This record gives sequence, C-alpha cells and structure tokens, in this order.
Amino acid sequence: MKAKLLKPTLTSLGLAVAGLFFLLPFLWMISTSLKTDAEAFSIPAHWIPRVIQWSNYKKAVTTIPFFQQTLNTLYISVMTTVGTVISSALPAYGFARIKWPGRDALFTLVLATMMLPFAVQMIPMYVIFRQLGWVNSFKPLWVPSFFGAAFNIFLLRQFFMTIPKELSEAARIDGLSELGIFARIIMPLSRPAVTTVAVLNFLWAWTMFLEPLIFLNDPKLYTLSLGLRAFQSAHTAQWAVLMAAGVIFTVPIVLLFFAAQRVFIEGITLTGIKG
Amino acid sequence: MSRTQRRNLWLGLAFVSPWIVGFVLFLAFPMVQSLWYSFTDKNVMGAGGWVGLENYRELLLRDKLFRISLYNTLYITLLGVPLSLGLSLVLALMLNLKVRGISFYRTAFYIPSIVPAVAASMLWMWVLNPRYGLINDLLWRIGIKGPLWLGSPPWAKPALIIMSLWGVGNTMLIYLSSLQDVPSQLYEAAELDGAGVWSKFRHVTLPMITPVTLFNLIMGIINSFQYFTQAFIVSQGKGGPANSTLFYTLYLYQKAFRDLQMGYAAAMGWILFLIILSLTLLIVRFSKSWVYYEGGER
Amino acid sequence: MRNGFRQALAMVAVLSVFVLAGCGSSANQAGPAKDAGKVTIDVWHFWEGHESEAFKKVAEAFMKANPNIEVKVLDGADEAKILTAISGGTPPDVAILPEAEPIAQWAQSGAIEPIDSYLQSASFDVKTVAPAALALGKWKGKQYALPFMADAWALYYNKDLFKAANLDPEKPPTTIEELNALAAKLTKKDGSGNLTQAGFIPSYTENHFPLYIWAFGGEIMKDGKFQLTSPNTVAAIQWSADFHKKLGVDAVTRFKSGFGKYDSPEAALYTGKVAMAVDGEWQIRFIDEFSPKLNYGVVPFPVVAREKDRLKGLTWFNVNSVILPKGAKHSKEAWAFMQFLETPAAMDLMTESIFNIPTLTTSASTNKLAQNPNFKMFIDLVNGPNARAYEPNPVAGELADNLTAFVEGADQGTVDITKTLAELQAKLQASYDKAAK
Repeated sequence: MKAKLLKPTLTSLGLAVAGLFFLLPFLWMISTSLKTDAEAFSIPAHWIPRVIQWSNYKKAVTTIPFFQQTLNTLYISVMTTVGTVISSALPAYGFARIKWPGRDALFTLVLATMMLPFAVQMIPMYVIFRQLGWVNSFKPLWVPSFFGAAFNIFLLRQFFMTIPKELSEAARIDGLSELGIFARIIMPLSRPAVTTVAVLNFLWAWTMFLEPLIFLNDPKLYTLSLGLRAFQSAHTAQWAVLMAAGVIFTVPIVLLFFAAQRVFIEGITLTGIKG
Repeated sequence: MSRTQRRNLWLGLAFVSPWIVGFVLFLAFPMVQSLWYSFTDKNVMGAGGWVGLENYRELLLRDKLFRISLYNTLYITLLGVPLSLGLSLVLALMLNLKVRGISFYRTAFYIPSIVPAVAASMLWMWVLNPRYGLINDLLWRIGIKGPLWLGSPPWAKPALIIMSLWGVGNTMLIYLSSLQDVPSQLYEAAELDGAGVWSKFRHVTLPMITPVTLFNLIMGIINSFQYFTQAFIVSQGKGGPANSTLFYTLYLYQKAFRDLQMGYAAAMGWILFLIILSLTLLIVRFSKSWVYYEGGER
Repeated sequence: MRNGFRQALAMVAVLSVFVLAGCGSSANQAGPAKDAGKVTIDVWHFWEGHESEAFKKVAEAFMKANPNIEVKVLDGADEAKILTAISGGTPPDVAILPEAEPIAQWAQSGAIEPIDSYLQSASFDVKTVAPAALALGKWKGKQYALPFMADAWALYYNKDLFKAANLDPEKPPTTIEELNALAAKLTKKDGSGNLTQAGFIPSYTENHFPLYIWAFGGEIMKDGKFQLTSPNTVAAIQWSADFHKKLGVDAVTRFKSGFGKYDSPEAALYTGKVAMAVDGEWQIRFIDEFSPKLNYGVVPFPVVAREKDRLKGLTWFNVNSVILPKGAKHSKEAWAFMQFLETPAAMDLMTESIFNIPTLTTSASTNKLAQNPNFKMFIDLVNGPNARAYEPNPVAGELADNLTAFVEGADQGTVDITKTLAELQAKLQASYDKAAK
C-alpha cells in the first residue's frame, strides 16, 4: 500500500521543486512588473508590491507602438512557421525514408550550415537581400524559412526514422507513390513531432532579435523584441515597465503553448503498428 | 548505378530540393565568401588582399585571447551540454507521467525559454546577486556563504551555466515528444516479462529515444559552441570580468565589428566550423553503436 | 518513379506560389518622399526610449528650418547594424555613434567620408566647437566626425560623511596624496572585517583607469606610440591594485555586491556606503531624482601633487560622433543636418532634455543646464585644457577592452602588472602599426 503511494508523491514533490526553480524568475518578473521602479530592486527583496502598479502595464503598451509591433511579430512568426513545416518535412523524408547515393554527404552539408557563426555571414547575407530588394522589409526574416531549416530537417529526420520500415514497404507494394507515403502515412504518424517543430519555430521567430535588428531599417517594421529596448536608456531603464512589457511579450506564447499541448501531447490515438 | 538507385536518387533529390534551392540562394554565397575572406586581411568594407594561412597561423599560434575564448567555450560546452541533456530528460520523464496539473507543469518548465533575453538577463543578474539574490539568500539561510557569481572571474561561467539551464524547455519538449512516441505495447510486453521501473527505463525508454538523444546532443554542441547572447548582455559585450566570459563567438564578434577585421573573424569562424564538424562526425560515427532507428533506411 | 518525382516537383511549385503570394504582402518600403523637390535623408542613431523622443524634437526643429528636407529617424541602431548597412550598400545619410573610439578605425577602413571640404564652407563657426571634442573626430590630418554632446567624469563626495569624520566638507581632495589620506579616514569596517563604509573604491562603478593614468601624469598613447610601460602609467595601475589590496580584494567584492541598484534611492553613493566616487555628469540629475537631500559636492578628479598645476581641471570625457557614411545618397542634405547639430538650437534642445554636456564653447552662456554650478563645472572641464580622451587610433576598441580586462585582473591581485603591461604594449603596438598603415 505504502509503496504504491510513494511513487506519485515523490513525483509530485519532484515536479513541484522543479516547477518552482523554473517559475521563480518568471514570478519575480511579474512581481517586479507590479512595483514602482524604486521598489523594484530594493534591499532586502520582497515579493508583494506595496501598492500594485497596474499603470506599468498601461505604460508598457503606450510607450511603444505595441499593437503595431505585435502585428509585425505575429506576421513574421506565422509565416516562418507555415513555411518551415512543409519545406523541412519534405527534405527530412528524403533523408530518412529513402536510400540514395550521396544522401549522407548531403545531410552532413545540411548540418554543416548550422556550424558557421552568423556574424561572419551577416554582411554577405545582407548583400544578397539588398540585391533582391528585400532589405527593410520582412522578407529576409521569413522567406528563407520556406526553403527548409536545417534544425527542423534534422529533428524530423530523427523522428521519421523511428517509424517502422514495414509501413513504407507495405504502402509501396500497394502502389502508393513516395509523396503519397509521405503525405498519407508518415506525416499523420508524426503529428507530435511536426507540432513540436511548429511550436518551437513559432517561439524562436517570436523572440528573434539579431535578424530583425540588422535587416529592418524602419521603426514601423520593428518587432516586439526590438521594441522592448525602448524602455532602456544610457544609464538607467524603466525596469518595472520593462518587466511589464516582458510579461505581455511572454503571455500570448504561454497561452499558445498551453493550447498546443492538447494537440500534440495528449490524446493521440494511433492505429496500426505504432500503438 | 542501377535503375532503382537512379530512381531513388531522383526521388531523394526531389524531396530535398526545397532545401537545395534555399542553400544555393541564401547560404552558399555567404559560406563561400567567408571562406575566401579567411585567407585575406579584408576589413568590413571589403578592402584588403590575400594573406594565405596568416590568419590561421596568428590565431592558432599567437593569439592569447583566441585560446582564452576557446577555453571558455569548451568549459561551458563540456559542463553545460551534459547537464542540460540530463536535466531536460529528467524533466521530460516527469512530464510524461499522468499526474494532475501536468499541463500546468509543462507550461511552467517552458516559460523561461520564451522570456525575452533582455528581461531574463536582468532578472538573472538580480537572482544571482551575491548578497541579496534569491540563490545566495537561500544559501545564507542554510548557513552557506554564497559565491560571488557574475562579479567574480572563477564563478562567472558557472553562473552563466545555471542561467542557461533555465532554458532547457526546447530540449525537454523534444524529449517529451519522443517519449510520447514510444509504443505502449513495448512497455506492456516488458511488464509481462517482469520488468520493473528501472528495467523498463533502461531497456525500453532509453533505446527508443536514442534518435532524439543524438539530435539533442549534436544540437547542444552546435549551440553551445556558438553561445553568445546571454553572455553578451550580461557582460555588455566585454566578456568580463577579466575575460572570464569572453566566449568564442563573442571574441569573433569583437574582431568583426569592433576591430573591423573581417578576414580574421572569418578565419575564426571556419576554425570553429571545423571543430564542430569534426566533433559531430565523431559522434555520428560512434552513434551507430548506441542509436536505434526502428525504421530508418540505412 | 516518374510519378513521384512529378509530385515532388508539384510540391515545390506550390511552395513557390506561396512565396510569391507572400511577397506581395510585405510592409511599405521606406522610399523617397512623395513631394516633388523634397529630399529625404535617413538619420540613424543609437538612443532609445525618452532620449530617442528628445532627438525626434531636434529632427523636427531641423525640418522646420529646412522645409525642403525630410528627415527619417531610426533609433536603436548599434555599430554592427550601421557597419552592415554601409558595407552592404544601403547606408544611412547620417549616423550618430555613442562614442569617439571607432572613428579612426572606420576612417581607416573607408566606411566614412572626410568632412574637411564641408567644414571650409560651414554655415556655423567651427571655432565654437569645443576643441578637444572636435579633435576626437580627426584621423591622419582629416576630420571625419563632429562631436554632439559629451559625457565627462569627476569626483563626487558626500559632505555629511566628511563632517562625521571631522573633515572639512569644503576641502575635498585636490591631489592623489590627499585622496589616499581622506579615503583612509573615511573607511570603516565592522568586527568581522567587512566593510561598512568605503572612503573610495577605484573600481566603483567600474575602474576608470584612463582617468587614473592621466591623473598620475602618465599616458596611454602619444603620437601613435603606446606608453603603457612608462613609470607614471604603471604607477597608476599599481595604485589602484594596492588600493584594493589594502581594503581587501574579497571584502571589496562582497561590499560592492551589496550595493543597491545604481539608478535607485539605494545606490551606494546615496546611502553612505561610499564617501567619494568617480561618476559622470548624469549623476547630478540622478541625485536630484533619487536622493535630493544628499549633501554632496563634485570636483575635478585629483592629480598627483607634482603635476597639480599642469593637470588642473583634469577630466576624462567622451563624445557622440556624427558621421557621414560612405555611399550616403544625399551628402549635401546630410551635411546640412550635421551642421544643424552644431548650433546652440540643436545642442541645447537635446542636452537640456537628456542631461548630457553640450560641446560648444558658447554653451556655458546659452544652455539652461549651466545655471546649475555643478553642471557648469562639467561644461568648463570639457572646454578646458585638460579634457582628456583616448588619442584617436584605429585599435581604440581593442585597446580599451584589453586594458579593461587587464585592470580587472590587476585589481583582483591575480596578474603581474609590469609584465602584463609590457605584453599588452607589444601586442597593441603591433596591432596599431598594422592597422594604421
């Protein structure tokens, strides 16, 4: 009897401790966002603000063109996610489910594109985008994602390689084309992986900083991560308002993540060989 | 080539074609140009000429800061990657259980990965404050005089590692998806054979998630070697105190945009490339002995 | 099978349609002005927040006086972004950098244009630009940048703490020797050896070593030759290291880590934790905001007694640099804007808003901030004979970062000062010689 209760209790305890470690700084962020600047970093630190400063949130959305920047960020995030899912899944399939000469060498090249630091590629990339006429637009930020991203190709390839060979072979015998196998068998079975890729990409695009900084030259195009800098000055910052902006920046993603969980983690009933 | 091989070659290339087109359009030129630059003393404006292997010689034989930055980067990679892999696996295992409020916990573990870097770094500088930060305050209560963290050269890197552990959400998520994919029949079969919790973990879970473990390991190394943003914010681009947080790509960035020595920076970039590539190929070669793919076409 | 191949091709075709469709919906391009005859110039700067708002007003004032020029301002542009744009072929017409150090390197690399020809026919009196500030924008005999506002450092001290230690609050230190003596009297420790009050800490808020080097009569560089191993320079570094050693390296670090946030009422200077501190002109406003009751004074940083006359009015200062990038499309209009920044109208408007030091010799009489005697002192220091900064050189960034890291180590007591300075001297001189060719 005792042994049966021990496991869930230990797990709950472990989860609670870990949860605290991860949530603590975020809770601190929320707490700071509701204080005045003077209180924000007072010594000794305390959690509950003396007077809750809801006005920080109002200031956060009125100091910067918050709505505009959110739309910009949303546009870029959605476009990159939409583009990258299909354009990465196809190559991943090619690397995982078909054997062809030169495949592994090309795959190594795919991986290799992630190994050269961005700083040395920044200026030649800028030149390419300039010649395409894309500088000072959103295009450098999302169009490349329509051509596959190495990270996603790699991840999906690993997942695709866990699906039993027999499924493909059976389908081939049934006369299904490779593309058909991809679309009707592999992709449906990979919903958790594909959703993971979509969510990870959306989040990465949402928080992207260096690329928007370099390629956007018009404040009207700025994204939220660039806009957050507006709360900082030479020797100081509006700390509490910055934290409020940070909270607002994070909340939609948290909600998205919460909702996405239902889709890709829970309740996936699989038929066939993969139980 | 046989007919099947040729057919497969066309098919394979067709599937990979979106990436190939993108590579040719966006990635090939920057890579080739930076490689060429690495053999020149070109500055940021493109002025300068061929110097052969001089940059590489200078870097590998004479540049003290190069060695320091490489050491710093190796330090956080060798410590940080295993820690982050271990932590994210443990968390993913916990989140894979049917415990009440599990959605809440999953979201909680993921939140730090999406907090904007500038806010996160500010937060951490306060959390790690040697006198009144959360961590040292807790240590104080149990009688330990906490270290000086970001303000002291020997503790700055461990502080950054702790900060980065907070961002294991991505890796954890990937592990979680993989755990969800493990067919329940395998567990059932193992249980029928009398396997206990640990045995199930060792003989069912671990092998089945090796494809994703390989992914997390390689991506962990690729990312760790290019660690930049948090250290940049926290040290204000200087890599202090006393060069203890001067990481490889930070030094590279300084060479490119502070000293305008694009050729030199490019050589640094390609040395890093070779290091990461060699490590990756090594890991992949060894992976054949421990990674299990149920369906890969090998 | 051909069928599969065709299908794969179809996928790529669908993708391309996607891309092309998306291409149509990008945001408005920043293009030329629609009004005929109006020229639009792009002005990029590094400010954010309310400082950025203040600059917008300067741009508006310019546009009012120059109705045929439209100014598009971009904020938050850091040096990497500006360099990428210049190198990539889409430079702004005017850029403002937060410091003077990059100028020589950017000039040497061909990223910026000299402005001597423009200066010859300038609409403003070039002699009204503070000479030391203007000199920072010169390299190899050519002028490449105009200064626009300065920061400068001086010694702040807490008069109440002086009184409490039986020291005359109207007699702050004027020599290093006096500083040492006063600091000793103003330092207190508790029973366990922890600092409770520090007379002076050379590394609070950061180590201002250039200031100390000059205060000792030393030099960092003179006419292209590094002077890091000269006796006075070494003495300055040694002085800072010894200062930390005397207070206790660990004790200092622990003490500093307990300081309240710099921009809050709990800052060390306001709560009596440090009696004297080197800080910039902005501290005057900070004190006004966070600790208005603080009974303080601010004086030029003390110098070694034997140089008391030669180094009178010593300050370390830096300026924002206004540059003309290579390839700027509208250099005539760009220059018109640059000139405007050197008039009291622009200078006073901006400095009064963001509390920086105006860099015109006439500022003491036109600028409202000069009514504050402490602030006026800063204006006078920047216009004075001992306003010092890094000598323009193409390895200034490398120099500053290397020395900073070195001094951090020296203060910790973990480096051999003389030996490391010699190594740095050799390394930096080699870098300089290569870069300045």
